[in-house]
Amino acid sequence: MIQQVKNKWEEEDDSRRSKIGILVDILRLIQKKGGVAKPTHILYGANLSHVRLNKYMDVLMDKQFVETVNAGGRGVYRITDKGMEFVREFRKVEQFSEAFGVPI
Amino acid sequence: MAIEGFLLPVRFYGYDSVIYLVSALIGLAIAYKAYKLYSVSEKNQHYNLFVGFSILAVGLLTISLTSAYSYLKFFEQKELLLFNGYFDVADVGYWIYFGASFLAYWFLINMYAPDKKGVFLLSLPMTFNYYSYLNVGLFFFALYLAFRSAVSYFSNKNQNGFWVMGAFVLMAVYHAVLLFTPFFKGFYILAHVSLILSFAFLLYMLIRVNRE
Repeated sequence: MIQQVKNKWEEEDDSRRSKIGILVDILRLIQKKGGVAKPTHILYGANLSHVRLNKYMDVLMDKQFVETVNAGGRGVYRITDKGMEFVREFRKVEQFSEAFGVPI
Repeated sequence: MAIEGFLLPVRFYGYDSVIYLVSALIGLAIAYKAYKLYSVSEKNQHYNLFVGFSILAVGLLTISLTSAYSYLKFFEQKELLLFNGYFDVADVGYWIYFGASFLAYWFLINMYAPDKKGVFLLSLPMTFNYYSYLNVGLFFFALYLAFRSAVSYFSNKNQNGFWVMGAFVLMAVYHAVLLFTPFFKGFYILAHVSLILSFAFLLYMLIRVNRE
């Protein structure tokens, strides 16, 4: 029951925050952590379920915005140069849309 | 354009064509950025922004080319009366420009009012669809855009939003001042200064966004 409510809430949250917004939030979160972040940090920081997080991480990996690296025997996510460039470009279009008062 | 009513001294002929051209190029740059925005967000509002500025830029480009052609022909002939032979070209450009402006503002208004109720009310001034009063309709459209961008600016105090608000205010001023050109020739110049300033504001906003 709780899980159902949580899933429902996340669905609503996803529609409110656009998918692209969630992807950028994840990338920004990794950036804030110095460019490398553990999956658990992203999980809590992005406020997503494990399943959803994996889905978004797959997209980011597929786009080569993040890569997995080994740190102390554990897999962590590292933002790539391409990922950082994407965040920069996204910031520009975000500011452009905010200038017209129609945010992304 | 100036030649239609021989509003201006000859030395001012052609400067409005340059203003239209520069404004069109800035409009295309805004449209390009809006397209990039739309490709990221896929929101209808951003699509309206992209289409609105694309159409506005095409309209400005058209009037720029047709008026420049007319001026060139005028200077080539050296006879003011002979210019009448080319009046049609400028006239077509004029109508395309105003048609494009109406359509462009329509898209931009839909960006702010996607429910279209406001658009219906705002389209009422178009019932004054009489040649000399086209600017009245466009003035109300631009005024609405200025109002909505002002509301947006004052609610979030976004510096880039200030320049967008300024641009729409100046667009409204451009259309309003054009109405008074029959009374004072200087208004034609003032109107076009407002137009180029309006697009200069948008260009400045674009530079700020790309620099940050």
